[in-house]
Amino acid sequence: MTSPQRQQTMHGSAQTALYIEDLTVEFDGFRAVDELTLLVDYGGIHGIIGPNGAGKTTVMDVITGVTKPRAGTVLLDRTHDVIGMHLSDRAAHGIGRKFQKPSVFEHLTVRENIALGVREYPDSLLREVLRGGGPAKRARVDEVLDTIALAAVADAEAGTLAHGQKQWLEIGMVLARDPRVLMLDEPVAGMSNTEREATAELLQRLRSPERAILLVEHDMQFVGQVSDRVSVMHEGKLLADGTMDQVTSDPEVVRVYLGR
Amino acid sequence: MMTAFVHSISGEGPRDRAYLAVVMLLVLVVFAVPLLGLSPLASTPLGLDGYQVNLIGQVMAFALLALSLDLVWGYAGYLSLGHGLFFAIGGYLVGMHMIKLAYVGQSGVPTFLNYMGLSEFPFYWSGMEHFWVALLGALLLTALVSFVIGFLAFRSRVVGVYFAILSQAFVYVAMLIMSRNDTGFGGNNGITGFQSLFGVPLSAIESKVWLATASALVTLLTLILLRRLTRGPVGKLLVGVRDDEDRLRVLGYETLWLKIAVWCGSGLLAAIAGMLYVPQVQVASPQLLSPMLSIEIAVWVAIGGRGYLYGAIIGAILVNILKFWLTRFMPELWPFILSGAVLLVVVVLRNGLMDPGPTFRFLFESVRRQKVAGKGEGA
Ligand SMILES: Nc1ncnc2c1ncn2[C@@H]1O[C@H](COP(=O)(O)OP(=O)(O)OP(=O)(O)O)[C@@H](O)[C@H]1O
Ligand SMILES: [Mg+2]
Repeated sequence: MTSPQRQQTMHGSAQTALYIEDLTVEFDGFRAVDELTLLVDYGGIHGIIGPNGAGKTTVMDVITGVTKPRAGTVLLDRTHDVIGMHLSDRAAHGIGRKFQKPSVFEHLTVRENIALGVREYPDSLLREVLRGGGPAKRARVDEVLDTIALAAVADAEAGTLAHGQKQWLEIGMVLARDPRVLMLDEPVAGMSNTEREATAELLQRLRSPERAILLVEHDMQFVGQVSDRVSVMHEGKLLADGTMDQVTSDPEVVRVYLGR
Repeated sequence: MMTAFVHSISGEGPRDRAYLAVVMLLVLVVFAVPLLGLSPLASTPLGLDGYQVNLIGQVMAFALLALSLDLVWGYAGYLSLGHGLFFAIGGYLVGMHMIKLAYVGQSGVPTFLNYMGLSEFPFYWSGMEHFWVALLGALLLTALVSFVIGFLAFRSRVVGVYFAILSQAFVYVAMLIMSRNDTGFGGNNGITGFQSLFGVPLSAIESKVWLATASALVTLLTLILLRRLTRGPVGKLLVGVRDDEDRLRVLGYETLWLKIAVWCGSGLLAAIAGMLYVPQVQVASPQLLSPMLSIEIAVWVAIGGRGYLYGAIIGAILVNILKFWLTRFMPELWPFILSGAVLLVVVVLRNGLMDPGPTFRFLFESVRRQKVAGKGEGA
């Protein structure tokens, strides 16, 4: 199942979406991320694997602005300094993220959750509140509902959804703004095989030459199935980088995974 | 008001019916108080005496105060144990207005200013004889104070119990300051000796009736307004802040300004409640700033149920009527009853009377099922 985008990425002609250099994050002296350098390209799905506590989530925290790094650079399109940006500017620049713990607003309906992801007036919250909510927004919400296949439960409270549906809903919220960098932290955790298949198909549909998808996932088979490139993290460092076959035959990677 | 009314009928459900019932109750109070409190009906067996009218008026002011707290606690998820601060700002300023009014065309100052060696009103009393100056002053001061507190707390991301403690600290400090005689507001006794408001003597039944009616009307209008606000986009964002603020921030929402705006709006409503309350009790004292009162506001909302608006009103009405009744006949029992009610809410009910949780759900459900069966409606 080699898609054209995949070919492009493999030959290195794709553009860099995220340029991460020497990124270091410390928590009370403990290095959760240790001088990590990583390039994420447009047009593909970039998997990140690694044992528990490797620092995968922390990298996403830094990119979205939830955590401040100690040192390092994160550039978007090799021009915008992401770390210096305000959280809302990062979202406006197209950085979107699904959290590891499914984070949907349980007391709002599915439709209302997705509507929160759509911004008609990205630079003014006041105008969004006063004038947002027109037909354009509703149309976008319907579009997303179709993409994530939750149109049938559009008016249900998000808290009543099954675990897998919540994961899709959160992807939908992030998708609503058509992100250029889509980060997914363990999207298939806790899913049945059928749900995994559906998620794999969803990810294939989300591929676009204008989008970079960063996927953190423990399910190796899933990562291998959807990713063009895989990076392996261990103790905050990059251990290996390449196709799934390349990294899984790397002796260091084998040692880390078996020596756990 | 009528359109808002019709608007709210369109969505049918137990929650909408409860909202409607509370709206009806407030409408009833707005009409019944002047009708039964003034002649000719006042002297009939149906009539209300001055004490009853006054009680209704105070309870209505408390209901407004509870509404203001529910907005920040029930929706944005920030428990304030310091709302008495804004309540007191409104209360003291309307008190200053009434005192100044009593001294118009007279020389001399109230005793509490005499005590400070003053023979004239200090500069910050100027213009206070005009109601609009006091109103504007109360709103501006509340906006300023709530902005400073909100900005400090929300920018440093103070949440949960720390926010509650911080807000309580502010009200406590304010109480200490206002309790001092040399602050110039009558110390522990506060300011009192009011005579009239809008030209009506406070001792007259008319002033009691109109103050109670105004309190009920403002509470009614605020309920309708907040209902619209919380069901619209602002309400969705507030629920977002309450349930998962980081999720909302990473979606690109600047929650800081949203929280500050709602916090200040809530403070302003509490100040208006204070302006309605003080002319009815005829004293503005540091009691308004006592940490106990601020905690009690939270108790009313907790007992009624957070996050429904009408729940806060029901909680305020029930607890305060019970309190009035008990403190009249067996005052020594009140603290125990209040603590018991709090325990009941915390331990047994999930979210106050409006959402009692699984333990009580079956009771309500069976009652509802009977009703539905009786009417022959579908679910
Ligand atoms: N806020 C924090 N404070 C202190 N330590 C933290 C914090 N966040 C993460 N850590 C630590 O940093 C390390 C990396 O955590 P991280 O969540 O990034 O790992 P991960 O690769 O996502 O792991 P998992 O696969 O279990 O999700 C862990 O040891 C974790 O305990
Ligand atoms: Mg993680």
